[in-house]
Amino acid sequence: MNNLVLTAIAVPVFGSFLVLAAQKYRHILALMLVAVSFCAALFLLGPSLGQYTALDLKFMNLLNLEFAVDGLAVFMALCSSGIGALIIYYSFGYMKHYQHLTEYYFFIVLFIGSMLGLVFSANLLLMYFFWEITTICSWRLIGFYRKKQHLTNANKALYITFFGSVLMLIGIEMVYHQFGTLNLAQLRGVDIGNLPLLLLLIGMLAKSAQLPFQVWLSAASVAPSPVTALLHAAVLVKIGVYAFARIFCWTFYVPGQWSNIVPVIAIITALVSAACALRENDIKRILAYSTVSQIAYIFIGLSINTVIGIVGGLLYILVHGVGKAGLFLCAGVVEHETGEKDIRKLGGMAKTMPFTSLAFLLCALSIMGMPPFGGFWAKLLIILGLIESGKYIIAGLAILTAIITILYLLKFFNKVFMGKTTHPEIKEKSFEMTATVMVFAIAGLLIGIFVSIPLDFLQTIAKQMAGG
Amino acid sequence: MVDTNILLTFLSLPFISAIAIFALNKTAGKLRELLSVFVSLAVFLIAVFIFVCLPDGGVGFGFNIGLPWIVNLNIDWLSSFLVMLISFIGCLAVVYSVGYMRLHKGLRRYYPFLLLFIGSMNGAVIAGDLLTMFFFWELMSLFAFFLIIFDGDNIAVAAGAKYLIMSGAGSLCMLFAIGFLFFSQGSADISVISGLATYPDKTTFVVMVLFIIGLGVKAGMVPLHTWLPDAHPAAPSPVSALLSGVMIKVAIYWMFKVFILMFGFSNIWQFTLCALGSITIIIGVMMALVQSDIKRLLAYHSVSQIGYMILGIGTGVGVGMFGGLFHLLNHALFKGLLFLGAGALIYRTKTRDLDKYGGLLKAMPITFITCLIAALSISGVPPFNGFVSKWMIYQGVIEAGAGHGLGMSWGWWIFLTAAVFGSALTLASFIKVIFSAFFGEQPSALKNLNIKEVCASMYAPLIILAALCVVFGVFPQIPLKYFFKMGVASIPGAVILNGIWNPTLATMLVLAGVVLGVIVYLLSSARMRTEEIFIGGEKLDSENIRIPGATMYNTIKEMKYFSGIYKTAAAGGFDLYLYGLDWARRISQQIYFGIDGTIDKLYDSLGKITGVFGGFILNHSSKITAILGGVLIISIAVSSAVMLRSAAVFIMIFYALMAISENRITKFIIWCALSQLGYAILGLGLPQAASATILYMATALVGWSLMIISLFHLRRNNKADDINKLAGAAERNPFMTVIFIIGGFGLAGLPPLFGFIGKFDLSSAGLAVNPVYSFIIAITALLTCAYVLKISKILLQKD
Repeated sequence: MNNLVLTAIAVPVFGSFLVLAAQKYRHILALMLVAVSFCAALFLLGPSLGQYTALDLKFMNLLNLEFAVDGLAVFMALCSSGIGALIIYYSFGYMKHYQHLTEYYFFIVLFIGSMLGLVFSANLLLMYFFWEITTICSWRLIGFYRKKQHLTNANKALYITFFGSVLMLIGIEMVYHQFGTLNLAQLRGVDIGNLPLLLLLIGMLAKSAQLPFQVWLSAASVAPSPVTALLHAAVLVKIGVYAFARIFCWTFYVPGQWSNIVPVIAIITALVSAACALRENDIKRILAYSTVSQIAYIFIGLSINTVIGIVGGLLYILVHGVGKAGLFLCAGVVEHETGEKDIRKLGGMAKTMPFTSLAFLLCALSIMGMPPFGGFWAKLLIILGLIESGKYIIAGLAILTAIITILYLLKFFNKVFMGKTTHPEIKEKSFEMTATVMVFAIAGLLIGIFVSIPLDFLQTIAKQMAGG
Repeated sequence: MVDTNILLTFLSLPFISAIAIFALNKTAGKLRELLSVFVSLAVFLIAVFIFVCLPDGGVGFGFNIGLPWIVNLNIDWLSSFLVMLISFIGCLAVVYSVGYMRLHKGLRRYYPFLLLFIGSMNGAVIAGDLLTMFFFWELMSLFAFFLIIFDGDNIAVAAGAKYLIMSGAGSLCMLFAIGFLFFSQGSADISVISGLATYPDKTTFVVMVLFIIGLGVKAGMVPLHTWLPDAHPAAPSPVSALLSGVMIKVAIYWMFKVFILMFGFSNIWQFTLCALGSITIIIGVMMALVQSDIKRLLAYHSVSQIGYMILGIGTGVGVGMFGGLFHLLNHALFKGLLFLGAGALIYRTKTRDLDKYGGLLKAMPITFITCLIAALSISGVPPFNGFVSKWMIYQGVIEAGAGHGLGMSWGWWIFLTAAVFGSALTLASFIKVIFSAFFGEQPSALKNLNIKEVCASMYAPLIILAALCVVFGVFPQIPLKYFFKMGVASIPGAVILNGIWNPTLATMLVLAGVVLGVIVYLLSSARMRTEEIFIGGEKLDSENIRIPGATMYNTIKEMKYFSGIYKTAAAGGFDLYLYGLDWARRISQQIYFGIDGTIDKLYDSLGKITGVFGGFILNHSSKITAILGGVLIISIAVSSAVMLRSAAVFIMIFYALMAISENRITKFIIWCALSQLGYAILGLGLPQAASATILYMATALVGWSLMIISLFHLRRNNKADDINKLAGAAERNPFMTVIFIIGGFGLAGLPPLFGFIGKFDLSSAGLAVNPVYSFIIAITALLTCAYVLKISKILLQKD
C-alpha cells in the first residue's frame, strides 16, 4: 500500500523531468506516467475504504513527508488522474501543431503529479508545498501561447491564487504555533480558532475562484482548451474544494457559524457567475463562469456538513469533473477547427460535427442536473442537504442557479450547434479529440445510471468525515 | 398476480429495448419500426394485464439502491389505469409514426426516444414516493425535450428549451416541497405522508403553492401554459399526441394524488383550484379561437381542457373528481385523435396553416369523419364522450356550491358559467377548423399536390380512437364501472349522477331520428335545386371566392377591448417565460458589469496603484534611502528591537515597490537586494530567529544570484539595460529565462523552490512576536512576486 501511494505521487512528479528528455515520444510518455498513477490509485481503492492509513517518510522536522490514504484521498486521486489522463490523450490531437510541446507535457504531468501529492498529503505544510507547485504549473500553462494578453491573464491567475495562499500560509503558521504539529491526523477535531480558519478559507476560495476571487478563472480561459479543461475539471479549482473537504470537514473542529457563512459566500458566487455566464458570448468564458457557479455548489454541499450534503458535494466533484472536461474539450474542438470563439458567429455545428455536438449535449445535460445523468443525483443531494439543514433561502437560490444553468447551457447549444451552418467546410478531423469527448459524455451518463456504485463508496467516506 | 418482476419488466422494457433499437444498424429501417411497434404493443399488453390482475388496494415494492431514500414503486387502481392509457396512446403513436415519419431523417434516434418517453411517463405514474417520482418526472421532461427538438432547427430548439426551462423551473420548485416533506415526515413515501393538517398553515400554504406551480407548469395551467403553444408546432404530430394526450395528464394525476389523497385539502384550496381551472378554460379557448396554425390551436385547446380537469379535481366532491378523471381519459382519446388527424393533414398538405387548407372532405374522408367525431367530443356535444365527463364536472361544481365552502357558495356559478361557456367557444373554434380544412374549394396550391387519404398505419389509430370516443360516449358506464371501480372507496363522497340522462337511450333516440329522417327523405320525391351564382357574366376563379376559415373569428379579435389583449398575447406580453428571460437578461447584464466587472477592475486598479506608488517612491529613492538608513543606524545604536523591526518593514516594502517600478536592470538588482536585506534585518530584530535569518539569507542569496546571472546574461545578449527591451528574450535565451524564473519564484517563496522554507521559518518567528509581521512578510512576498511576474511576462511575450 505504501509503495502504491509513493508510485502514484512520485511517478508523475519525477517522471515529468523525463518528459524534458524524451523528444519524439514525450506525449506518449506523459500519458503513461499519468496512467501509471491512475492505476496505482485504482489499486488503492479496495484497501482504502473505511480506514485511514498514515505513511511517514521522516524527511525533515517541519516539512515532513507524511502521506495518508483514505477513501476521500483515493476518490479525489482517481478523479484527477483519470480525467487528467484523458485530457492528455485529447492533447495529442489538439496540440499537435504548436511549439514548445515539451514544456507543455512537462507542466501537465507535473501538475497532475503535484495534485496527487496534495491529495495524499497528511501534513498541512506538505499540502501547501504541492499546492504552490500547481500554481506555478497553471501559470505557465495559462500563458502557454505567450501572447501579451495571455501572459497578463496568467499573471492575474497566479497573483490572485498566490494572494490566497500566502494568507493560508499564515493560517498554517498559526496552527503550527498553537499545536506544534501540522499532521492532520494529530490535529483532528481540534479547535484552531476563527482567524486561522478564515485565513485557510481565503486560500481555498482563491484557489477555487469563488467570490471575490472569481475573476482569474474567466481570464484563464485564454489557455489551450485541454489546459482549461484540466484547470476546471481535474486539478486546479478542485484543489480548493478538496482542501475544504479535507481541512474543514475532516480535520478541524469547525464552529457552527462557518456552516452559515460558507454557503452564503458560495450561493452569491453561484448566482453572480451564473448571471455572467448568461451574459457572456465567448464560448470558453461561458464555461469558465459556469465552473465557478458549479464549484460553489460543491462548497455548499460540503459546508453544510451532513452526510447527504457531503455525499452530494463529493459526487459533484466527480460528475462536474467529467462533465466540464467534456464541455471544454467540445468547445475546444469547435474553436480549434473554426478558429472562432464568439457564439454569435457560430451555428449549425451539429451537421458538420455530429459526435462533438452529441457529446456536448450529453455533458451539458449532466451539468444542468437532468436525469439520468450524474449531475442530477449530485444536485439533488445538495439541494436535499440544504433543505435538511433548514437553509431554505439558500436552497431556493440554489434552485434558481440550477434554472439559470439550464438557460445558458441550452442557449450555448442552440447557438453553436443548431441552426444554420456557419462553417460548412470543417470536419471532426482528429480521432483522439472526438473519442475523448465521447468518453466523457458516456461516462457522465454511466455514472448517473449506475449511481449506486459511487454512492456506496461516498457514503462510507461521508460518514467518516461527518462523524469525525 | 402482479409481482415485482412484472412491474420491473413493465418499467424497464421500453428503456432496454430503446437501447437495442438504437444499436440497430443504420439501414435496418423496417426492422426498427417493427420492433418499436412490437415493444410498445407489449408494454400496452403488460399494462392491461396489470390492470386486470391488480388486487384491490394495489401493490407496492421498495428497493434500496444506496440512495438516501427507499425507491418505491406503487401501483393502485388509478395508476394502473393511467399507465394503461399512456401505453395505449403510446402504442398508437408509434404505429402512426411508421407512416408519418417515413420521410424524416434521424429515425434511428426518434423511435428510441419515443419508447423512452413512454417508459418515463409510466415510471412517473407508478412511482410510489415523491423523490422517485421526481426522478422519472425530470426524465420525462428530458425525453420530451429531445422529441420536441427532433427537427433540429433553431425554432424547434428554442421551443424545446422553453419547455425544458419552464418545466425544470416548475419541478425544481416542487423538489423544494418534496424535500421539505421528506425531511419533516421522515419519508417520501406517499402512503406515509399524510396528516399534513398538523403543520402550521403557513407551511402547508408554501408547500401547496410549490406543488401547484410544479404540477401546473407541466399540466399547462394558465399562466404557466406558455410552453404548450410553442412546443406543439415544433414537435412531430405523434409526439404532440403524446404530449397533449398523456404527458400533461401525468401532472393532473399527481395533482389528484397530492391534493386529495395526501393533503385532503381544505376550502381555500378548493376555491383556488376551481378558480385556476376556470381561468385556464376561458383563456385557453379564447386564445385558441383566433389561431391559424392548426397545432397551436390544438395546443391552446389542450390548455383549455386541462382547465376542466383542474376544475373537476378542485370541486372536491366525488362526482366532480370522477368527472375530472373521466375527462382525463376522454381528453387523451380525442386530443390524441385531433393531433394525429392534424398530423394527417400536415403530412399531405405540408403546411400547418389553416388558411392554406380547404376542401379536403372528398380527398381524405376517413380523416374528416374521425376529426369531426373528435371535434364534437371535445366540444361536449352528446352523444360523444366529452359530453359525459363535462356533464359530471358541471354537476360537481353545482354540488360543491351547495356545500357552502369558502367562496364556493357564490363562486360556483362563475365556475359553472366559465365551464359551459368554454364548451360553447370550443365548439365555435372547431367549427372553424372543420370548415376551413374540409369544406369549400381546394386552394390551387393543394390541387397540385394531388391529395389522397393517408396510409393504413396512420388512419388505423384514427379509427380506433374515434370508435372509442363514440363507445365511451354512448356507453359511459363501461369506463365508469370498470376503470374507476376501485376508486370509489378512495375518493371522499359518493358519486351520484343527478338528472335523467341516459346516454344509451338518448343515442338510440337520436339514431332513430336520423334513420326516420333518411326514410322520409328517400320516400319524398323532392329534388334539390342548384343555381349558378349570379356574377354578372364575369368568370371567377374559385380561388377568389374562397372564404378562408381562419379569419372566421377575426371580429372577436378586432373587438374593442379584445384587440389589445390579443395583440399583447401574440407578442408574448402575457408569457411569464419571456418576462423571466427578459429579467434574467437585464439582471445578468447588471451583474456582469456591476459585480464581476467591478471586481476585475478593482484588481487591475490595485496593480496600477501599486505601480504609481512605486514610481513615486522611486523618484525619491535617495531621500528614502537616507531616511531608512538613518533610522536603521539609530535603532541599532539605541538597540531598540521594535524600531529595528519597523525600519526593516519599511525597507522590505519600499524597495520591493521600487523594484516593481524600476526599468533599468542594474538598479532593479540593487532594489531587489535591498528589499531582501530587509528580511534579514527583520530577522535580527526578532527573538530566536537567528537560524531562520541565516537560512533565509542563504536562500535569498541563491535566488538573487540566479536573477543576477540571468539578467546580466540577457542584458549582454540583447545589448540593453532597459527591461522592456528584453521583450521576447525567452525565444532566444530559453535557458536564461528559466534560470530567472526559478530564481525569482525562489525569492518570492513559492514552493518547491528554495526560498519557501526560510520564509516560513522567518514568518513563524514573526508570528510569535506579533501576527502583523507575518502579514508584512506575506505582503512583501506578493510584491516580490509582482516584479518577478512583470519581468517574466516581458521575457516570455511573443507579440
